[in-house]
Order: sequence, then structure tokens, then C-alpha cells
Amino acid sequence: MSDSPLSRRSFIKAVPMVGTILLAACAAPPAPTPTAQPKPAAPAPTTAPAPAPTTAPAAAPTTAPAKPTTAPAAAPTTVPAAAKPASGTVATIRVNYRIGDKPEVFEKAWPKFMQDNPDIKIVGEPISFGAYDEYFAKLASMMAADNLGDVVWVSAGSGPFMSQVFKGFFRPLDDLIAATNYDLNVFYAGAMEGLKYEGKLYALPSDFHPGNQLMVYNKKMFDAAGVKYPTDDWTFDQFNDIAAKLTKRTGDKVDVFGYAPNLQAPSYEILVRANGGSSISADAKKSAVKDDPAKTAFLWLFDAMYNHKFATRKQDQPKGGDELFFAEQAAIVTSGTGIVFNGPPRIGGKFQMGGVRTPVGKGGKHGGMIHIGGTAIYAKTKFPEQAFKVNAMLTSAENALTRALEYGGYIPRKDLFESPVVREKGGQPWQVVLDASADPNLKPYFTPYNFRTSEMQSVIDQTTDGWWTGNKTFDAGLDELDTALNVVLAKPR
Amino acid sequence: MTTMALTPAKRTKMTRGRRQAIAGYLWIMPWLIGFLGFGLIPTVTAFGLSLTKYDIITTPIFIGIDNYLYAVQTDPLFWRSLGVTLYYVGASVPLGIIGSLALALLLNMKKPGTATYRTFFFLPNLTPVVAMAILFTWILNPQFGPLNYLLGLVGIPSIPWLGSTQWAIPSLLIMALWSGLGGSRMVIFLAGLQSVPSELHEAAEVDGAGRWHRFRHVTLPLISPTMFFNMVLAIIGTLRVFEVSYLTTLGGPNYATWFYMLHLYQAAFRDFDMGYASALAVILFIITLVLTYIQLQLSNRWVYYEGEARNN
Repeated sequence: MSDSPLSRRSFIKAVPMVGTILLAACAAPPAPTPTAQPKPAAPAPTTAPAPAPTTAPAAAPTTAPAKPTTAPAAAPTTVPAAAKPASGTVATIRVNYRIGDKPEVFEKAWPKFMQDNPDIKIVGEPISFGAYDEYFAKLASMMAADNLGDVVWVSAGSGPFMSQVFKGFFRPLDDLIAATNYDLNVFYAGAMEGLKYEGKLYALPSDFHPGNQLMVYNKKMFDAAGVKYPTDDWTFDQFNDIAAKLTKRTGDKVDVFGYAPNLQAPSYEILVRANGGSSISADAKKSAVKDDPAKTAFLWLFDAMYNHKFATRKQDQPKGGDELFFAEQAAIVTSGTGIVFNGPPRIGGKFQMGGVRTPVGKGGKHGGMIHIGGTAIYAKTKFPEQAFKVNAMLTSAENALTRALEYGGYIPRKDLFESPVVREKGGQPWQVVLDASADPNLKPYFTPYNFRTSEMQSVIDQTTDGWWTGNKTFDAGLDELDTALNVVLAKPR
Repeated sequence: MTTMALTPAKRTKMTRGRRQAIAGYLWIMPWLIGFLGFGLIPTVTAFGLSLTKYDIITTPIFIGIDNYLYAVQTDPLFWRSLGVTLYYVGASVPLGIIGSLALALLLNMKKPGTATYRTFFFLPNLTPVVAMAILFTWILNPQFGPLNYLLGLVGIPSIPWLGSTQWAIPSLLIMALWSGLGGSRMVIFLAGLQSVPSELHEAAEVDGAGRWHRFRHVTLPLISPTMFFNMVLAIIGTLRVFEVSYLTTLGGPNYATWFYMLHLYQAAFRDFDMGYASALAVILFIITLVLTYIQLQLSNRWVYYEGEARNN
């Protein structure tokens, strides 16, 4: 037995204590107290004086960049200079954003902005978007540690943004917008809707695309089959005829599919909306997949696979239809807008690609869908005016053009989408994307009442696979989808 | 006038034993801190969080065992994911153990070029799982994949692989076996095989035992501890299967590859339901513990420890 005064027992007692002290020392301050009500935090107290008079010099130049472009008209995007946080001091505004691969584009306008606004220092904190979840998990951790940036990139609809708004982690921007006469009319209305909660705006729109409503087609196949290219007003019946004509078979084996659909929840919603409805009820608390608009949409896709047999099933395209399209084994494909630019190099001159919107449905219009990201302001920022000024710069006409041309991210500004420089960036399919973006009927993807968007999408994707793998009859699959969706929607907030 | 006598401060002399104890503890301190910070404390915390409703960003609310009750009574995906995982474990572990042992037996033959073969067989194990997933998504593509092409040459019709509920798990098994057969499990078997005394084989051969009988009655009993070790690790590792499904099928199609860990991950990092995810983690911990205990109990019947026999 050791007579050492430092016994094993005392050492084992001491180590956790030391470890705990070390961990505590490394830990960030405690998380903010939860808010039981959907009561966004009021602007944090700031020592800054009231915003400076609007006669203050504009923060950033609104003229077009030096590049010989016909840049968007200089809309009144700049915010009058906010007053300094305290005499002689500089407000440090931390910006959390998802763009990890080209931060230099996102940050390009910052040096000039800081030169024009010496009272503001921007510190960029790019966070890897990873496989989708990484960014949001990191943000949540930062919220828990009360370490969130002042300006934060968020995703409406797919990420947990609305839930975080509900819990009071972001502040509404309405007072800052009113105080600075910031003109929101430069943005598309649908994009703004995606960033609102209970009528208040919680982020300025910073990323936008009209999702999977674009269909691209192989012009060579249309020409060979003697089929005219579809026009914007085509219907689902016309689609069926065209897709059937483009399908090529050897016996029972399909060599070329007329259509490769996208088999994911947001794409279904486009079809449902074309029929004038939605997959969930108006109060976002119950499934509506058994209602006529949704049922018609799903049945159309089901028939396309199993009755008309011109559409690919899950087993034909487990990772999406793009590869089949590039390999000339599918004539029409529903893909994201990315195919407009990444498609031609993959096609390699084998054929020309045309674009058209999803057909007009029973609702008499296209099924609209937009994916929207924005830049929000942390509820506990010490410098809300300065943060808003940075936010306005991030979504300004100049920054929008830079990002669109050098990165491929599109801020939903009307002037950007109407800019000849942007319009000339792509061919005919790109024009379809731009025109679709201007559709006043566009709506963002819905958010359930309990904010469980991700869970809901997963349930829709997995359950509908029962149809697309041929394991479920239409009625059985619809019952299963309805039940599964209601289980998720019935969960608490 | 009085003078103050200056007495020298008494030096505390550290005993040799104490010095050695401090040195020893300091040497193991990095591991201990790591174990506490990244092992024990998070594990205990997870158990505590499993009794709460917790979304990371707000303070946990104590709800007792509600998360556990929800898992076993209400959540339809709990049992489904457990079933999918056990099916995968049931197929993957025996195939993996037998395959690795077969490879190790081949590579244990004293033939020219064996060292090169050992390297080649180990290489897939070094392939990052993301690269492997992308590679196999291509190989298993039902339309353009080389595997279906080769099967077509011998008259086997196209298999839908990852796009089918029936073939999705076998597809992931192919990936796992490609990556795992020649990995560390094979190396451990190889080490076990090389520790089998050659004189026992020679004696058996003299007694007229053929290859199969030598393997069955000499090799197998002597490597049974190695096999037991590999089996315990394989079951624990396979219960945690996650990456391949996340990267290739996202649990689909129609929940065919919705593994338990994927369900846990979904609850934690997509639904931000950390309390429930912690409960799922605790349940998995208990399942792993029970399975390992059962294996330990069963090992008395088939694992042969040479040293024990000698002592007895």
C-alpha cells in the first residue's frame, strides 16, 4: 500500500474537478432564456445614438461597377449611415454565412463599405454548408452559446429559421426598415413572404431560385420525333402526349424515357399547386394530400410511371434523372436550375437543351415554388442599426450583380433579374428561369405550423417511394402518406 | 536589545513514491482529460439530456422518461430502424467474419508475392467512405453501372440496386464487404493465424488429418479468441452503421435503409430534437451492452484459451 499523500483515490477525485473547471473555462456564456411566446426580442439596448439624419452621405456608391455592364438601375438600396456606436468607437459586426467555397466573392464589397463607414468593422465567419445539416447545427450551437454573429445567413423553408424566429433568436427588421426608409419594392414579393413570420419581416432576401419548376428537354429528340417544342402554356394532357411520343421501347424494355421526374417533396408541391392546392391545409396543421389538387398531382405522376409508362421510376434513377438526360436516355427532365449552367458541359455538344416551365394544371396556372435564403439580424446584437446597414449592403444592387456574375448566387432583386448582363448569362432555359422568377404567383415552400419542415420533407420523400418503387398501390400509398404526414404535423412546436 | 533568530524555512521533502505518482499521473493526464471531456462527461450528459425536451438553443425541460416511452410506444420509425439495422448486422457480421477469415487464410500461405497481396487487399479499407460511396453509386447505377453490364453478359437481368427496397441493403452490404473484408479485421485474423504453433499442424498431419480437419480441429479452436474479439467489434461497429446510407440512399427508398443511427441523426441534427436523440443513443448503448454481454456468456461455450487450458 502506498504511503504517498497523493493517493489514487484523491487523484481520481481531482481529475474530474480539474476537467470540469477546464471545460467551464472554455465554455461560452449561458444560452439565452427561452421565450415561451412567439415574441421576438425587442432591439437590444445600444449605446448608439439615434440614426443620423438622412442627409448623411450614402454608405456605398450605387452606381454601376466599373465593369462595362448595364448594371441594374441604382435602386435606393443603401441605408443612411447609422450613427457611431459611441464617440470614436467602432462597431464590430460579425457576419455568419454559408458560402465556404468562394468567400472572396461574398466579401468583395466589404473593404469599400468599411472605408465609407469607418464606424463599422465587418468580420466574416464563413461556415461550411456541408451536407446541408452542418451549417444549421453550427448555428444552433452558436445560439446556445450566445455566440451568434450579428448578421446571419438563413434558409427559409428548409432550415430551422422559422423555429428560431419563433423562439426569439432573430429580431424583426420592420422598425429598422421604417427608420431608414429602406425600399423593399426592389425585391420580388414572393421572396419576401418566405422570410416573414406573423406579418413581420425577419431577413432581407439574399438567395433565390425558382426550384424545380424548370423542365429541360433534349431538342434533338423532339426534332427526331417530329414534336414541336413545348410552350409556356402547355397542359399536363399535352405533356402526356409529348412524353409518350418521345419514349422509345424494345419490347417491354424502355430504351429512352419520355420524362425523368424529380422525386422529392418540393417538386411534388409544384405539381399540387398547379392544380390550385397544397399538400398541407391552409393552417399548416393537417395533411391535405387526399384533397383533389394533391391527389390529382400524385395520380398524374403515378400514371406516368405505371399506366403510360413514359416516366422513370425510383429504380430507374435512384440518384435523380440528370444522368439519364445527359446520356440521352430521358427526353425531358425536372431538375434544379443548376442544370442550366452545369448541363451543357455534361452534354458535350451531343444535343441542344431547351427549357420550359412545368405545365399549367387544373388551377389554370403554373405551380410556383421558390427557395429563398436571407440575411437576418441576431436579436441580441448590440448594434442593430449597423447590422442592418451591413445587411443592406449584402443585398444591394452592386453586391447582387457581383454575386450573380462571379458566384452564381441570385438575390431576388427585380433589377438584377431584369439586367441584360444577367439575362445574357445563359441561353433559352435561363430565360425561362428568369421569367419564372418574376411570376407574381410564386410562393415559397410551406412551413408547417410546428416548424418541422425537415421532418415533413423526409416523411414525404420516404413514403412516396412506396409508389415509385412499385411496392404500393395508389390508394394504399396515399393513405400511408396522409397518415405519416399527419403524425408529423401533430407534433408539438 | 533583542535579536531575532532567523530560522530557515523547513523544506518539505517529497518522497520518491510521491514524485513517481505525480509523474505517472501527469503522463496519463492527456488521455484522462480526453476521456473525461470527450467520453465520460458527454456520455453522462447524454443520459441526462435523454430525460429532457431539448432543442440545443433553449434550456432543457425535464420530462422524465417520456422520450423513452415515445420511442417504444409511438415512434413508428424506432422499431423500423431497429429492424433494418438488425437485418444489416445479421447479414454483415457473419459475411464479414467469414470473408475476412478466408482472406487471412489465403494470405497466410507462404507463397511468393503474399506481402503485395496483403497490401492490395488492405487498400480498400483506406478508401474514404465518401469516395467509396460515390464510386459505388456509379458502379451500382442500374442504367450505366458496370456491375449490371457484367451481369448482363451472363444473362442476369438488370438489378435496380440502390433504387429498390429489396436490393438496397444488399447493395450497402457489397460496399461494406468491399471495404471491410481486407481491413483491420483481416490483419487481426492474420496475426491470430500466425500465432498457431506449426508443430500442432505437423502432429495432426502425422496422425492423418487432412486440410479441413486440421483447420476445423486445430486452427479454428486456437484462433477462436481472435474470432470472438473480431465478432464483438464487428457487432458494435455495425450497429452504428450510418455513413453509407447517409451518403447513398438517405435512408430510402421507402425507409429500406433507414438505419438506427440515421434515425438518431435525423432527430438530432435535422429536427433538433436533442432530448429524443439522446434517448435513442442511450437505448442503442443498452442494446450494445446486452448483445456484448450475451456474446461474452456464449463465448464460454466456443472460445478456447490455450493459457487457461494449460493452467487447468
